[in-house]
Amino acid sequence: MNDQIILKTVPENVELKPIILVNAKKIVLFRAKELDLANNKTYVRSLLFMVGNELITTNYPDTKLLFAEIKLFEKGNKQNSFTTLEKYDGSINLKLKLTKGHIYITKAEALTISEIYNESKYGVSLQRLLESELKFSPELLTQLLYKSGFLNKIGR
Amino acid sequence: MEYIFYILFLVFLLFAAKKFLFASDKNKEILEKEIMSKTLKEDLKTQEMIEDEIKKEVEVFYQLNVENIKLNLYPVSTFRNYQIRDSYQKIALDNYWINEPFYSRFTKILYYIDAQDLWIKSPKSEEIILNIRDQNGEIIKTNSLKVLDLKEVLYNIVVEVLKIKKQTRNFLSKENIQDILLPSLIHTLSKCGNLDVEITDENEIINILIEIFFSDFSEEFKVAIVPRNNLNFEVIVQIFERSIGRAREYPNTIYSKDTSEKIVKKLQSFPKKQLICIE
Repeated sequence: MNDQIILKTVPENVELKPIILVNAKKIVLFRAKELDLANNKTYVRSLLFMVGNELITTNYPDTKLLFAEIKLFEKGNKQNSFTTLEKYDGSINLKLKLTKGHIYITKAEALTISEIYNESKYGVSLQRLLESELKFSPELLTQLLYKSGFLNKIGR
Repeated sequence: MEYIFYILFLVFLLFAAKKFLFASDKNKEILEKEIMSKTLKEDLKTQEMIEDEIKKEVEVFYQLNVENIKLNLYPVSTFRNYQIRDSYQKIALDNYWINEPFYSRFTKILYYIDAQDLWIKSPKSEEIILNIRDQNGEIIKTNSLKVLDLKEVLYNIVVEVLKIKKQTRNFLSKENIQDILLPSLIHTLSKCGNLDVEITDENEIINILIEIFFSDFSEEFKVAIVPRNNLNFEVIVQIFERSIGRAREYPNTIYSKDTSEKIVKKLQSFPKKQLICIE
């Protein structure tokens, strides 16, 4: 009984797999993938958005909201939770706040981000993500990052 | 008839007098004999006593060799961690390094490290900031990074120092090696991530640590303990880097208010010395 509870909260066969969105600015989408070895299937259990050394969103609704803000770009509301619009030399940029500093996202980058995100959903069942999303605690997430080798300095 | 009575009376008197005189002589002889025997017995006794004493002296001398010598030291069992227990056994008891300014300082540092979960940031790790929503929906910021356990690093340092001791057995005295060991311990402690110090400058942290651990010593001794003043500073850095390279890495999360308890409080509950025999 206890084993089942632990398996529900801390699954052994979950891995973090990266999808690079923008190479120059180190914008990466992480998918927490669960391998179902008995049925030979994989399920997505959570989506994470990472810029540089910071995981900005660590649950599905937040990442979805961030992608919507990037997709809408200048049409978006002024009360966005993650991004703000800024004008520089006549062109409009999307400012993304980080704990240390900030980055600007251009319109072309926003387009590629939203397109790659749409492509990442092909052939993947999202039912398990909607029904039972993995809720991360800081310790669990660090263990997952350590297991998939993202805490190493070289070979990232 | 009267004559006969007189004669009888005289005879009786003579008989009685003779008998008493004879008896007194006999008593004298018996007394003399008794005294002689007593003196003989006493002589025999004294002889036996002397022999016994000689025998006892031999036995006592034999027992003294067998007895274990007991020393007033800190017992090994008071340490919680097995690696710290091992390093204490290797340095203090097996090597017989119990000369006083070194021994008490060394054990004090060991007790401090044993009581806390201190770590050093791994040189191969990258720090990642996590934004995670808690149950109330508020975002909590934590850092995740790879970390080395200080107890393992300390054990590796002890092994490295003992290696140096073996290599330079003919050239360096034990005081010279102790002068390398104590500053290298202070050097590693100053690199810790969760010390209860708000200052980030390494030199100031070292000064604070020395004031805490070596408070009851003269200033000349304090100045000599600072790793940068040591002539063998390159050796100390080499030992530190080697011991870090061999230690295992663990994943760790840091909360913003994650600080260890105060050093002074921990050092107040210091165990007492006991009589221990070293084989």
